[in-house]
Formats: sequence, structure tokens, C-alpha cells
Amino acid sequence: MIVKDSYQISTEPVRTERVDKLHKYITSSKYGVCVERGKLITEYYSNHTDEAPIVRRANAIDYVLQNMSIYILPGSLFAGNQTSHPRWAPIFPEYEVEWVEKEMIHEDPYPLGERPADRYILREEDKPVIQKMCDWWKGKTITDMLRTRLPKEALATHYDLKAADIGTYFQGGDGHFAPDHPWLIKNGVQTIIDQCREGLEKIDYKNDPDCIKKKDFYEAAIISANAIIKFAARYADLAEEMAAEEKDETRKSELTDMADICRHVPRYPARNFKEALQFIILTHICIQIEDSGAGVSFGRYDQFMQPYYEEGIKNGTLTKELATELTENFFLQIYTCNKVRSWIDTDFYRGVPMFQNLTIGGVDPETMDDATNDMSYIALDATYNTRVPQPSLTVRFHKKTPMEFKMRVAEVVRLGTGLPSIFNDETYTRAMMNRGYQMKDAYNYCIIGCIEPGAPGLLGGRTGGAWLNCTKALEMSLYNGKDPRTGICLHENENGKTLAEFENYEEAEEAFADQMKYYIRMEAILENTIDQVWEEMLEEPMAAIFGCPTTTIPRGKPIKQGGAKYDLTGQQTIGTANIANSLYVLKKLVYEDKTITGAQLQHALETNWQDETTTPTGPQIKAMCMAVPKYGNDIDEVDFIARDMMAMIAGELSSYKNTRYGRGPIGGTLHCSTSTVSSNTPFGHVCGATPDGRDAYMSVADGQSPMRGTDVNGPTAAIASVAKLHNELFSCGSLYNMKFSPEELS
Amino acid sequence: MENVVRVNKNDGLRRFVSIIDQYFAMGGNQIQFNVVSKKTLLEAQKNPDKYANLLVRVAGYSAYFTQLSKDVQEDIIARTEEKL
Repeated sequence: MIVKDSYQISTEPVRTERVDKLHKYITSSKYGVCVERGKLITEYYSNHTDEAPIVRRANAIDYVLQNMSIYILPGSLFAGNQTSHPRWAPIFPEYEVEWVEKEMIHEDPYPLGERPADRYILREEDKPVIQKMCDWWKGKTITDMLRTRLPKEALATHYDLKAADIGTYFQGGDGHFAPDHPWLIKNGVQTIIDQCREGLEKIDYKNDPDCIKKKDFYEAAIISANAIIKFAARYADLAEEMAAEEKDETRKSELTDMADICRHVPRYPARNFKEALQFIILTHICIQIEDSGAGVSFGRYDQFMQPYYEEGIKNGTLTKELATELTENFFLQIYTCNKVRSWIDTDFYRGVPMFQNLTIGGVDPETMDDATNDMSYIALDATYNTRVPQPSLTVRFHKKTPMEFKMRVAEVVRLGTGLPSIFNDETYTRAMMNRGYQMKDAYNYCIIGCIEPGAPGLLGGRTGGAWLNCTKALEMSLYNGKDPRTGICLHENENGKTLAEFENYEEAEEAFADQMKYYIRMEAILENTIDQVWEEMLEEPMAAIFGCPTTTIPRGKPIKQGGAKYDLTGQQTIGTANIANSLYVLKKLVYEDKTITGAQLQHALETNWQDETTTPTGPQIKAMCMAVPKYGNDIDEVDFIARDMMAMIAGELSSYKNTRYGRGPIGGTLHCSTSTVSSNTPFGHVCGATPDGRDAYMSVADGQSPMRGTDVNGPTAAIASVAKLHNELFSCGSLYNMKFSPEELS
Repeated sequence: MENVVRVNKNDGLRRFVSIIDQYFAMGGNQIQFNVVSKKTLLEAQKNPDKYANLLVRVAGYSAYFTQLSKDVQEDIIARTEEKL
């Protein structure tokens, strides 16, 4: 039936034959585990125990890159693979082997291929290889060292209470940065080698107390820069061999072209659009092989690719269609990267995310004018057409963003893939400047990982870090610091009282702030101990020279020694809505209306609303708690509690220094984000019933979104509540999920 | 899954854009969307093979819905479906 103003349009992806075949090939490849990296790195480390840690690491990664299997995806115009198969994940035994042995060898709690979610193929013949690497690394891993060095309170916070948890960074690397792709593709890796050689020559062995550290760094940097050049040459050889055997003339010439390109980049500057993308892929893949950190992001793709696009159009070597196909090919190539996590860790990262973020839109930091360009639209089209979860597309909006662009963004959002996510330049840049960013760097921000802002090529540290489970801190504050689930009490409330004993709301709020501050201290100890151990044992040359080449090389310092222009340690704060709603229930129900007493509520929480023998009964008390207004409905009383408590948390976090403070970078502190990934589910599993009416062990709220199902006054009220928070204090980013049914966007 | 969408002179889409503008004007930092009905998600739970390509936004990333664990699926289903 045709209705006058309503009609159907096709949302079929538009793909060239090449992109369509590549898409089918990659998306039909099941996730798996590749043992090559783990095997090779173990071989190198076990045979070379006398090198400086950073040199040993550079040589070990070089050894992996020269000996791992390489392949060229059928029909792809680009070379570069992280492991032996698309979507297979490497192993990083240097971080932790306990879970690797437990799950991959002993199939505990599940064989990798039979997990309830996030399944990976693991070949039987690879198991002895894994056993061998586990045997060598036992007692020598980062996790082993952390267990020895962390204070017992921090270990209990992490393992037992789960009030702050940094598990991911026990099991893997930092990731979470945006390499300086614009600088790299413009200068080439040979420039890094030349600059490092010059740095070596200029070391002041007479007066510089860091002279030996600098020597080690430059030597490692040169090894790593040469390693990627040799890695590219392997693809050039392979492409040539394949071209020689190729019957199809078109494919033969594509492979010959690929060989030429891989002999040129990344050693020398990219000469055109296609070379720039090939350069980026190889850099990205090497970073993803050096360590297992997720969130390795691409920066402002449309900004640094536009000059190559314009030049190609001008000299007739490129068309819009070809640039789109190349971008889609690039996206799919990036999607082949993967990561395998322990079963426990997958709970926090459900759905195998890699957080390879790519940013478009925003302003030009020089002119402050809108920076949307042809490549912004091409990147949107590429997301529209490829429909794979990676790269994660980010769009920056500001006051001058053209309506045409916003409408195209809306059309892509309407597809329902969850991409792109949209960011506000005005607040994000203010948040960054509040942490010391210069204006031109703040306005050049990109998104790293999930939602975290950073200046590409200038930010060290990591934008992701420990999880801070605020609901747990809230729960413990009601029991005078004791965790009812484990019986552990690390820190009693300063007022020494439980919920049954608080005399007024202020005492309840004080107790919460007190617990929160104690666990922020634990978080800082976890973060800084990890960084200290990494600095001593695992400093990473590729992250240094690709991540921040314009500062690490002149300073002769890798990131963990203070090599970046900006350095902030990120984190994730979980449970904004739950703490605000819970505290407001106490305020309203117990201390203002006095409908129930603190003792009654405490008993109801302890019995998970199940006790029917009390008056009122547990279920009745739960109903009363549920009926109190909730965050997400534009009600100031509760929204302001969310605002003030989150401001307190953000302020406390940023008062802690990280291990780079005063060693070169601007910043040098922790800072707050409201990102959750999927951790709101496992963190809910360790929290008993809370005064907001939430049942024991149920998921807490995601990000700084209202608690699911409690925002009932429509989207305008919901956004008003979320916008009331002091969002500029979340300099590590904000996360707000909103859901619409498709017909709403008709 | 059908690759079609019903449009109505794009009014819904414009209202959607204006919600984002309004949120940012009020000082919001970031927003991301799931555009999917509860019905579709429930059907996908029942017939995962048919919905193998269904992507959803979990948090700061998207993932294939049918590959998520039940509790995360339930979290997404229970989120409020807003009306424009």
C-alpha cells in the first residue's frame, strides 16, 4: 500500500564486487586462536636473557614479524595480517599464562570453542605449543610480578571485593592511543631511524644521568623501525610471488602494485591515497602484535586523508568511488584484527570488541571552522556499506556542523548498527583544556577506544584503565565499610555507622564519599603499580615511536618514562545512576518523608527484599524504593545528587598523580570517564540489593545512562538529566546509550 | 533481515537530529544509539541463525547481538525504548 507521505527505501549496502567478496570472506571466518606470536616471542625471550628490557622487547617483536605467517586477503588491495587467519587472535604469554593454561589446555571452565559466548577455535595440534610457552613463562609474567608487588589491600580490592578492578591490564597491554598517522605517513619510518641515530650521537655521557636509558631507547627504536620495514618487504616479496603465478591480468597488476607500495611505505612518505592507507595498516598491525592492548585508534581519518584525496582527484588517479572502495577495503582489513580474553575478562568485554576507533567531523583547530569534508562522507558511506563492528566510527558535532552531514549521520544511525557514536566538541574540548591541553591540541581531539578523547600522536598513558565499581562502594558504605558478600572490611566509615545508624542524609552521603575515596586510592595504587612494572620490564618501542614520535624521539624517552606531550591515566566509573538513585531513596524515604527507617531498609537490602514477615514487607519496601523518582526524568533533586557525586569522584581521581607526573608530560594524573563496556553486568553480579530498588546481583546501569527502564518521561527529559552532570569533569569521556525503535526514525 | 526502511518525509530523522542538538546545547558530552525494536531482539534470541548479522550497540562499541551472553542481551532489551 502506498501512503502519500510514507514510502519504503532500500537500505541495501552498496558494495563493489571486491568489497563484497572480501566482506563475505572475512565475516565467514570464525574467531580462532593463533599460537605463532606466543611461540615466537617465547623463543626469543628464552634465548636472550641479557639484553636491556626495551631492546629485548624490540628484538623479540622483530623476531615475531620476520617469522610469523603472512598472507594477502583474496582480492584485497592492501597487505597486512595480525595472525595466521582473519579474526584469529594472538597469544601474549608475557602478561599472564595462568588463564591461558587453565582455559586453553585444561578447558576450565570451558573449552574455548564451547564457551557460552565469545567462542574461539583452538586446534588440538596447537595445544603442546601453548603448554610449552606456559611452562617457560610461569613465574616470569607481568601478573606474577604484580601479585608480588601490590599491597594486600589493593589485591583484595581487585580480586575479592571487585570495588576497583584492573584485570584487563594484568592480562594484556595498554593499547588506547591514536598513533601520529599524519606525521608518520608524511615523514616515513626512515625519518625515525635518522632521528634516532642523531639522538644516539648527541647523548651527553658526561652530564646526563639518563644517558644509558636514552641509548637503550634509541637502539630499541631503530630495531623496531627497521622491523616494520622488513615486515613490509616480506609482503612485497609475497605479492611478487603471487603476481608471477596469477592468471588474471587485473589481479596480477594489483599484486605488482602492492609489491611496489610495500617496498616504499612505511619506510618513505606515502605518495598517494592508497599508499597512505597501506602505511597505516602496517603500522596498526605491528602495534597490535607488539602488545595486546585494545583501543588502538586511527585519529581524525577525514582530516589527514583529505589532502591525499584531493590530490588524487586533481591528478586523475582517484575517483570518489575508488576512494570509497579503498576505505571499505581498509575498514575490512582492520576488522581482521582480534583479541582473545580469559573467560572472566570476556564478561567485561562481551562481544569481542577491539575498540579500533576512527574519528570524523569536528572543527579545524587552526581556523575553528567546520572541518567536514569529502572524506567525512566517504567514511560514513564505508560504515554504511561494510556493516562490521570495526572500526568503531566516531562523529564530532559542533555548532557549525552542516545539517546535510548530520542527516547523513542520522541515516547511518538508523541502520541500527550502533555506529557512529556522536560527540560534542564544545564540552569535550573544555574537559581536555581543564586538564592542561593547549587549545589547538584539544580541538584536534579524536576518540580513542570507546569514548575517550585524546590528541592523536600526543597522548601517552592509556585512556582505559581500572574499573571503579561505585555501586560496591555505595553498598559497603551502608554496612560501615564491610562487604556483605565476602565479609571483608578494608576501611570503616569515618563516622563508624551503618545505614541503620545514620542520623541524617548528610551522614549517609559522607559515608559514601568516604568509601569512594578509599577505593579511588586503591585504584590509583593498582594503576601505578602496573605502570611501574611495565616501565621496568616491558617498555614498548613501537608504541613510543608510532604513538608519540614528535616527543619520544627528541626526549629519548619511551611513554612510561614520560615521553608523551600529554599523559593521563584513564579509567571507567560504573554505576552513576545506581548511586544517585540509591542516595536519593535514602534522602527522600528515610530522612525526609520518614516512611521507613534506615534499619528497616537495611534489613530489606540484607534479605534482598524477600522477607515477608516484616511490616512493611520486603517486597513492599522494594516497591516504595522503586516509586521514588529516578535519574533520567529531568527531576533536579535526584539529578543533582548524580551531578555532585560524580563531580566528587572525578575530582578525587584527578587529585592522584600517575608515574609520569613531573617527568615531561602535561597532565600526569588519573582522570574520570563514565564508560562501562559490558562491565555493568559482572559488577552487578557482586553487588547485593541497593536502595534504588535493584535486586541483588542484577546488572547495574551502563555508562552515565539512566538505569534501564527507569527513564519514563521521554527522551527530552532523559537528555536533560544526563546533560545536568558536570560533563566537563569527565575528561576521559562520557557514555550515554539511548534506544529507539526503528519506526521512530522514519 | 530485510534491508528496507519506511520513511515519512524524513520528519523522524529531523526530530532525531534535533534531539542530539538539544542535548549538546544543554551540555551533554556524548550519545550513541540502538535503533532496534524489542520484538526484533526477542526474535533474534529465539532464532539466532536468522539474525547472525544483527549488530547492536553494547557500550562504547558495537557487537553481534546473537553472540552476546544472555545477561547482556537482556540488558539491551530492558533499556527504555524512547519515542520521538
